[in-house]
Amino acid sequence: MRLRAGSAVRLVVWTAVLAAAAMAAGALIKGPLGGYYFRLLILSGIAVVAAVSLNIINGFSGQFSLGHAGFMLVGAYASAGITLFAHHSINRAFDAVGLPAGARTPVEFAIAMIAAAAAAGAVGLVVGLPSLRLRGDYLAIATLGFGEGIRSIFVTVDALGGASGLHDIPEYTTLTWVVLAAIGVVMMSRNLALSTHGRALFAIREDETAAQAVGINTFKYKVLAFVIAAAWAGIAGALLAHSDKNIDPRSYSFMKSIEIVVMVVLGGMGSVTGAVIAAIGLTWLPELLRAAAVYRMVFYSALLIVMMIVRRQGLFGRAELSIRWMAETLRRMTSRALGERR
Amino acid sequence: MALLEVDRCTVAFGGLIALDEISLKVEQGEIVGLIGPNGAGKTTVFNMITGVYKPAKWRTMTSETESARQVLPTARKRVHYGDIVFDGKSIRHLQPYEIASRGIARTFQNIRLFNNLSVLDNVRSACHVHAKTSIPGAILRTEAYQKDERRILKSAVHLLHVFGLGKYKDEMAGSLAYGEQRRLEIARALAVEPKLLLLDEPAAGMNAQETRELAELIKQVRDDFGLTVLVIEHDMRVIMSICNRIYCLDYGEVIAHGTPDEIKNDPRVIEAYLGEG
Repeated sequence: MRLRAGSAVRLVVWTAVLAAAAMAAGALIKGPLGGYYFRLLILSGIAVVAAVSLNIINGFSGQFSLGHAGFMLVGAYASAGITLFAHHSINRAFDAVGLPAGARTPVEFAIAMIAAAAAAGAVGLVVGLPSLRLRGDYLAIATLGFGEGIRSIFVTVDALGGASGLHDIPEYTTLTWVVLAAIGVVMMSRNLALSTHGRALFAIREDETAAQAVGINTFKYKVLAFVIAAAWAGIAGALLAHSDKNIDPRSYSFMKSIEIVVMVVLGGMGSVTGAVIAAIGLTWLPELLRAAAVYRMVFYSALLIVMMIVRRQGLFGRAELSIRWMAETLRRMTSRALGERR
Repeated sequence: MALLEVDRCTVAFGGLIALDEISLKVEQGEIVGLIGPNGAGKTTVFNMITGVYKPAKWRTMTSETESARQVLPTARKRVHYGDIVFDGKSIRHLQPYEIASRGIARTFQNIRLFNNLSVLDNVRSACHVHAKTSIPGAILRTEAYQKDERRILKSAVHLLHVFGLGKYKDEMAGSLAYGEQRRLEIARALAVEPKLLLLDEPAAGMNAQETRELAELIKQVRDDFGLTVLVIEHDMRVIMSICNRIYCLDYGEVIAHGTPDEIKNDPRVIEAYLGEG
């Protein structure tokens, strides 16, 4: 695999620039914004990672997974396992290689997140291999069962923390990490969608029989989408655990999976941009509705219902927000306006 | 040797024998017709060749195995599946996508396009078999990946032009007119770069003019792409004008095969279509 020199450099430069920008922005806005809104910012970033990754399964490949919170939980535990219990041995290894003090926390957290992605991805493979033979409603039920099952395991097995979960997890999650993860999952989704592999997923969504007839290994691609999405959900879980500073397995319930599904549906199944916007919007909306006090959730559900009636295909349908798309829309709107005047 | 050879294959749905020890041969470069009354099992033949249905096992009751059974008790369990040989290799055990990548592409009786993808992407998604880049390569947009995508785009656009669909390339496939959808489905099948093309009632629902154009197109495509074609069709004008040979099916059995002239005058074919005279 050879990267073109230009594109490799561009990738590194952009990542560095964005990381620096996020770091600077984090430092600048944390004070004036206050802890509450800053935390909402972090949570919306984590929601973006979760929603955009679920979009790979539900939006791209047209399968229906209701177990995303389960993969987040696996990632949360895997990463906390590293930062809580392997902390000292990792630091000893850092001593051995002489890693400077400032780089230790980021490297340790990076290791924890890779572990989270690997663990959640592996569980995704184990769950996906049998359950992706099912279709539609049956798959939804199977993934729902997985999500609830994995939560029950963590709640009941005392060696894994039991019902009280895990505590005293270091607060490693910064705005920089969240932004980097969000950009990572968006870039990956977009590049996948533009490639022959993305088209294979879309073909499966449209017509599985026809997809097979043109030589697409539908089962392989469904499993692949499932594993990629699970791995990113694991990263979202790792970020959440290291922002919450604890893991309460009960909060990674079926309702959380539903929340992520709602983000994907509301944004428009298959639209990465839609998933991003909906994830941010739905994280802030309940908070902004706090003025409505006890009627908050009533408003929230009413808004969702209205949204689905007015725009069933979701905010973006399958469109993506790009410079070309904006230019086309602008051109269409102006030509229509001019046409009306004539 | 024949490009495709189906040797005594049976397909059963529960107790219903849909295909009863079917045998047929398609030679390289031929256009072979598959005709027969409704429910004769024509589409089942396609589904069997493309791996959607697997041939069922059946027990030979020939004297040869009968005598073998007396010698070897285990021979009792000997069952046969028949065989489907394509391009010199058996494809009986393969999955539909593997059969497609070996070089058999098809269209469907009730058009099955990827309706919410653009016309271009319908064809491009069928270029998948010949795409070379790995998933990490696609995510990192390596040089090889970009080159591969450019090649796919070029061949897809070329195919669309051959089928007169170039101007619709950014339209959704589902929004095309019926005749254009039929043509797009053939274009998509050709993007697999098949050796054998299976067409399931390509002229269904077309008017006389469109039907004539389609017949020409099939012949042209056979010549230009060096294809072999197996076609199911009810329109006898199409069948008689393009086919080198014809198989006639009735109740899951081949009741006649031969040249168009032979088939036209075959009493069994006439009986199957019109009933006893």
